[in-house]
Amino acid sequence: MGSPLKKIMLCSSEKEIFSVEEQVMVQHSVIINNMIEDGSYNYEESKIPLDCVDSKTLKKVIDYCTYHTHHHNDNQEDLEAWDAQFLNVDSNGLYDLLMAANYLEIRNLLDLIYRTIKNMIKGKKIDEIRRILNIKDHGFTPEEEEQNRKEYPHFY
Amino acid sequence: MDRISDLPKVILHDILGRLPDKDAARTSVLSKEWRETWFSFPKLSCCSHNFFNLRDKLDRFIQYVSKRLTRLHDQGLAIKEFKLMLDHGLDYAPASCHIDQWIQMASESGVEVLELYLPGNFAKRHYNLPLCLTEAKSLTKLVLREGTRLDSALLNHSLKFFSLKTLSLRHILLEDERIIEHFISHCPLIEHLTLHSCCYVYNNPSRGGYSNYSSTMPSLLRSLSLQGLQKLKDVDIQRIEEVYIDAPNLENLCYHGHCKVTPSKLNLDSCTNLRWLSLWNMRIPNKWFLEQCYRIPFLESLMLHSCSFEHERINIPGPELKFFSLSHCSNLKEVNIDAPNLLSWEYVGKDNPVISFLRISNQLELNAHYDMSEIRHNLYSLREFVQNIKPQKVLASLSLFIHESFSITEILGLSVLQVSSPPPSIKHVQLHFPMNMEARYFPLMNWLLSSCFPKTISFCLQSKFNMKAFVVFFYEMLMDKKKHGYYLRSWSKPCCWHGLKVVKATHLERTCENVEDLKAMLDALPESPVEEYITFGLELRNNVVVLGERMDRISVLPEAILHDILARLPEKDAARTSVFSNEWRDTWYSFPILSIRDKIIIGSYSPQIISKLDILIGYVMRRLLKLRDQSLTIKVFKLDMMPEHNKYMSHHFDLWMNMVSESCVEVLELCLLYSATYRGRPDGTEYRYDQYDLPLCVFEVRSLTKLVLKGKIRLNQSFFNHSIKLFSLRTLCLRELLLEDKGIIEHLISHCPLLEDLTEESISEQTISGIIIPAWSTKAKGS
Repeated sequence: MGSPLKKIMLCSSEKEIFSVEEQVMVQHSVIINNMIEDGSYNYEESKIPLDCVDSKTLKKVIDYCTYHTHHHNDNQEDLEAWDAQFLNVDSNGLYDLLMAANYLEIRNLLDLIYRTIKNMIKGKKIDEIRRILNIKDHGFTPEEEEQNRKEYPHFY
Repeated sequence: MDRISDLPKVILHDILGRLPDKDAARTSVLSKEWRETWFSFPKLSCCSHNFFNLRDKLDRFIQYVSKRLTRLHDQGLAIKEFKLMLDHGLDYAPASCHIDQWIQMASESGVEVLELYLPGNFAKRHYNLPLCLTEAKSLTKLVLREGTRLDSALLNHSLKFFSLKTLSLRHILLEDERIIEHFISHCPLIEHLTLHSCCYVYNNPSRGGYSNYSSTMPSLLRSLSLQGLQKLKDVDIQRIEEVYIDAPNLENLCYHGHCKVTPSKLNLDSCTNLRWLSLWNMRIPNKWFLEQCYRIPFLESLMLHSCSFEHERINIPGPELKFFSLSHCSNLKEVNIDAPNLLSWEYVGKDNPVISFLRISNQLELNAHYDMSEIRHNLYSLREFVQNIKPQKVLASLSLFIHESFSITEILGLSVLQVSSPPPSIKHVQLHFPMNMEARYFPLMNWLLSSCFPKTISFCLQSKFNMKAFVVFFYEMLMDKKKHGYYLRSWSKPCCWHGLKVVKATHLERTCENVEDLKAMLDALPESPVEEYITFGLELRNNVVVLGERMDRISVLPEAILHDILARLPEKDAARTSVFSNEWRDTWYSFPILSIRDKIIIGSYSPQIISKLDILIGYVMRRLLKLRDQSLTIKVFKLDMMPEHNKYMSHHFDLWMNMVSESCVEVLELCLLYSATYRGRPDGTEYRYDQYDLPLCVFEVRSLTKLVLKGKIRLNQSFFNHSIKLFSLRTLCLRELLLEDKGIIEHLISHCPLLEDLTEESISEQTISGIIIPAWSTKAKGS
């Protein structure tokens, strides 16, 4: 660790540049790992363009990766508490994070978000879930809604 | 060295026959040989217009025709074809005695094709067809268009049209209603029949040549009955009120009704071999129409044009129907079509009927032409039109028309289309709009893209629509929205199409790269009255989802991600997502993991369970069919049923197993439980009944990696004769099964080369006599 840590550049959709320790991203993101491994990244010049990730989201993603790289030895409870705090965002934020994690192939972040969404849905009443997921217009006609209630009364 | 002129006459005639009339005639001045060839050419197509542009040259025309016919006739050469076309408005009364002579010569010289087109002053001057023609036994085609009158004397004459195959009578005058039927009854070989707007008049003061009918108005022929015509294949009839056709081999019928108000009487009872049917301008009784559809099982093409129906809803069954066109048919609200082989559907009109397809083929394409020029059309009409087509994916292209006078553009200035869900997507949209005011560009564009999301969009460049500036505006808006932030801000809500961009702009073969190109290209185009289009390919920007004012962005995540979420949810919660909203339901129905647990879908056992089973069956079929229709795979199929249900279900299970097997399933688990009481019986009689015989198709699924069978399932002896194709199977678990032969399992295992994990538990054997041999268990890991 005596030598300065290698850094890589990530570029958000707003063209903002983020400089991150190479190790942090390589460990978490399959896609960046592949890029570094196959030698297509030039440390002097390259910036990895992430056109579909905005700055706000990219910053969060980097936070997540950095924290998990440096704290992977912490006890499980602390990590979970940090994750819970990390994902304390609205459903829009969750959406952006999920898309970014999916794009960068960050498996453990994906799993975390999936778990969160699962908890938003599991065992809750339909109306409650609609509220949590912010479904304002469910798109069913009144007849279809009626039909649903008749066919699956135990869903409601 | 002019060897061509030395060719045999037959060959030269062949050459002449292939030339346009005018060029063929010009060969007569090439050389003497050619002239000779020309005058022995047996096909005469004499058009006064082609030969002389001056009307006063009629004499020369008559001379010329007479000369050619006389030469052939006098030399005893055949006159195979004689077509006579006189210019409109030409006063050819003086020619009528010559025409009589010409027809006489043609009839005597074995004429095969005779066509007369003598447009005169209708109802006043008509040429009386001479009776000598009735002797023309060689005639195969007779075409009379306008200006000819059929004499009632024909009725008392025996017609000798033994070879006539094609008869076409258009706008001709009959002296007696019965003439046409009389005519046709003497044509035993007739195959093609065309009757357009034939009229009749009664009194007939003079004979021969031209007669004057100024006093009597002709009326349309009212009824026609065609009987016993074995060879008749094509019929094209216009404006005859009552038509009865008895022609068992009729394939093609085009009927143009009398008027839209009173129903026409068309009787096709014996025409069971019809392939193509077009009905025009006709009031159609629904019951009659449905009857015809059932009676004509082989119908391939159906065209309804300007028809009106008695009821607003029509059903069209067409097992063999491939092409269907519905144009300008008024007062239709609902069209249900059940034509599994249909390939193309054309819709032209101003209404937005609900068009539903019950069974469809993958190739079906609906092309619609929607005219929104009426006052009753409003902002929502377009969206409604697109949404009324079910399923939506069949809509391949939509042409939109709005005429100058119309008010949509007026309305657009005042109000905004309020929609919250993403617009339905559509492959191609074509615009024919007048775009005169710049102030309307944005409302119009917003309205259009909120109503539907086209993959490609074409703008008609015809000068009357004045679209060029709009095209540029449209392009700039989509490619560089910030410039037009004014529009977005001034609009109360974010536009649902903000994520769209133009990926390609093409005109003819040229592609434009940027706005300057596009402008330059549009400017360079001449103002032209022809229909030309410029086409944009549209796409969503990466990672941007079409959103209205909605905030539930989770529901619009990519399907694959949502499926990942569903797979992580407990089965019960996953199933419940289907009632959250439209999108969630679609996601659920494309979810490739089917875990069918009756407890979850229809709740726990209750006495009304049988009626609830229908819900279960409907539900499973719906999911299987939706996956199949979208050509999606079924990765996992698990069936877990309570004992009380199974006895009603075996044929449904068979069907499901079939569909699942065809869809390359990877994991199949069947668990049909025994009830506690059944198991307690010592003699095991129940074992013999209510067993589900697993269909053999399951053992042909090459993609299967895991197979779990548990409970009241029987593997019967036909197994031994069957080749098992479970080449990918890694896990096999068999519990509490019933076998007809102990060797079945060994047979099964010996055909699974990759098997890694095998579980057998409590398997019983049932001999043919029905005795149950006690169960055994084994467990093996790694083969």
